[in-house]
Amino acid sequence: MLQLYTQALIDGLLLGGVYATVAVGLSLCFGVMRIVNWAHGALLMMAMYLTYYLVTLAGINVYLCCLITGAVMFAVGYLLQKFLFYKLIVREKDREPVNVLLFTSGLGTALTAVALIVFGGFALQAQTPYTGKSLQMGPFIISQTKLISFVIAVVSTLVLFFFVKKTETGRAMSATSQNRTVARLMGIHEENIYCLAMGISQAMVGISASLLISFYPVSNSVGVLFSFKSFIIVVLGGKGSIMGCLLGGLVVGVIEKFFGTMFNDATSQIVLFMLFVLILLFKPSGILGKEKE
Amino acid sequence: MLKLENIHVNYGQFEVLRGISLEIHEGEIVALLGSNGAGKSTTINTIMGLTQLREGDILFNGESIKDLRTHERVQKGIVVCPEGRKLFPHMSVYDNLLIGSYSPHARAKRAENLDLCFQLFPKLYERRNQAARTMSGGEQQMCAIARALMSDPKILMLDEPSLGLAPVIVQKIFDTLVEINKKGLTILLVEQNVMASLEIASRGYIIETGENIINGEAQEMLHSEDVKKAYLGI
Ligand SMILES: Nc1ncnc2c1ncn2[C@@H]1O[C@H](COP(=O)(O)OP(=O)(O)OP(=O)(O)O)[C@@H](O)[C@H]1O
Ligand SMILES: [Mg+2]
Repeated sequence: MLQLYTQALIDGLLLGGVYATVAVGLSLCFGVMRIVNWAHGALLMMAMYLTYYLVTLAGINVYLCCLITGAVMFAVGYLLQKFLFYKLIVREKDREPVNVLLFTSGLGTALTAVALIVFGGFALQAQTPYTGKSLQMGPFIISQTKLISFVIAVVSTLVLFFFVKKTETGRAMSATSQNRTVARLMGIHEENIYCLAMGISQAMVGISASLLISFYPVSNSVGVLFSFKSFIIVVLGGKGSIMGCLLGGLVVGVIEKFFGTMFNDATSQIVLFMLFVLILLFKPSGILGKEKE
Repeated sequence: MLKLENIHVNYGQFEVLRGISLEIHEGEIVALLGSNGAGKSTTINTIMGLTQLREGDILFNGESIKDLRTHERVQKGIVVCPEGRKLFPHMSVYDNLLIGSYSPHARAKRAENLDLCFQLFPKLYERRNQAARTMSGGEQQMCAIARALMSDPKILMLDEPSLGLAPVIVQKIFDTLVEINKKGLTILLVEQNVMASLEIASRGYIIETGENIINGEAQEMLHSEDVKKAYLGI
């Protein structure tokens, strides 16, 4: 019994690290630009299909694919921001970007439909050299794909954290998130920062897509599922906080595995949703959040 | 150095600036005065490119800047210390100063300007790791001025730096402005504090509901009956 739950804890933490990397892009996007990106999961899904075909057809190592999908998705995010989102934001001036929210929601639905037509409705599982291999640690089993994915995920998230804290561009992003008008008065080129932030947000999506595909099958329902998970993680961790996101991801991973082991997957989704509602009601700044504003 | 030629700005249907003209020469301190809602902040925001200019032109060293974007104006050395300080509340004092020197030309002179700021405001050095939002009003104003200096301005515009501060602190801040002006920095000082501003300025402009009404030498304005009547309640 205890062994079963310890195993669930290990699996949950490994999975949660990857979830955190999925969600951190959403968090950054909201933190810097106040954009709630409903297409987040759908973009992840597209990047997962991309990795699937890179691995299956081109035979590229799945973890090397991180670099490719990261770069491709960076470009996608950058261009989306430059030619669509930013144009809408400028028109809405200082208000919350409602049209952008509506647009992303439409984009998410459209991408899901496109995926159904192009890739079909069935789940695709990539075969990698690591698939099915695992390490035996005493009584516990650690899946090799999940372990490698976890390590890459956590390292990527930490790199992002230090990028935002320590570099000029990162500092400009925090400044923009705190007050975009004053940030412009500091000589910050807002459009540039927005495009970079969306690019980085999607680069994280690209990386996590490749990490996921090593153990998680892709289908056209993945988008909605991961949008929902990411929203829970972002709210749990405090909107815009990168470290909070990491913690939120781990919590969600562990809860999912615990309740999945105890009952079943559907129950764990319901528990997560209840947690989401409770946090929104009683601690909207997130578990780590200080009272802001 | 900076010249506004008959600028008009609307907020929607509402005409906020109806033909403001003013000129600031290199090395001067010019005071821009007027009561609440006169359009002082709007004038500053227009110089920074935060509003839409409907008519008129803005010249910097003889060149029109009205089509430049805000960050490009900052890179030219046109810098504002905004009304109500507007520090980045969740950043430390030090990070606020660093963000002030974001522009490439300011980044190159970061160390030098940082020394200057800490020498002008030793308090900021003591408080450098403190979050900006936890400082007192006076300290925040000093930090806001220092942050603007970090942008390596050629002209510094201050929007009501005395707002909500005790007279001693205001005096200290005005002394500092005189000191940095002596080092060669051109200053446009927006104030409601008419007396104190005209004391340190060489020239002054008074605007009312978006129009110029009085301008002239600061000393003359201090003794002008019109100014006294309108603004000093004498
Ligand atoms: N964003 C805005 N939208 C609509 N009207 C505005 C806006 N900002 C300012 N105004 C109006 O423009 C006029 C001038 O405002 P402005 O802030 O420039 O005055 P000010 O001289 O700086 O006053 P104060 O001394 O109170 O700061 C005011 O009547 C104000 O109500
Ligand atoms: Mg004002």
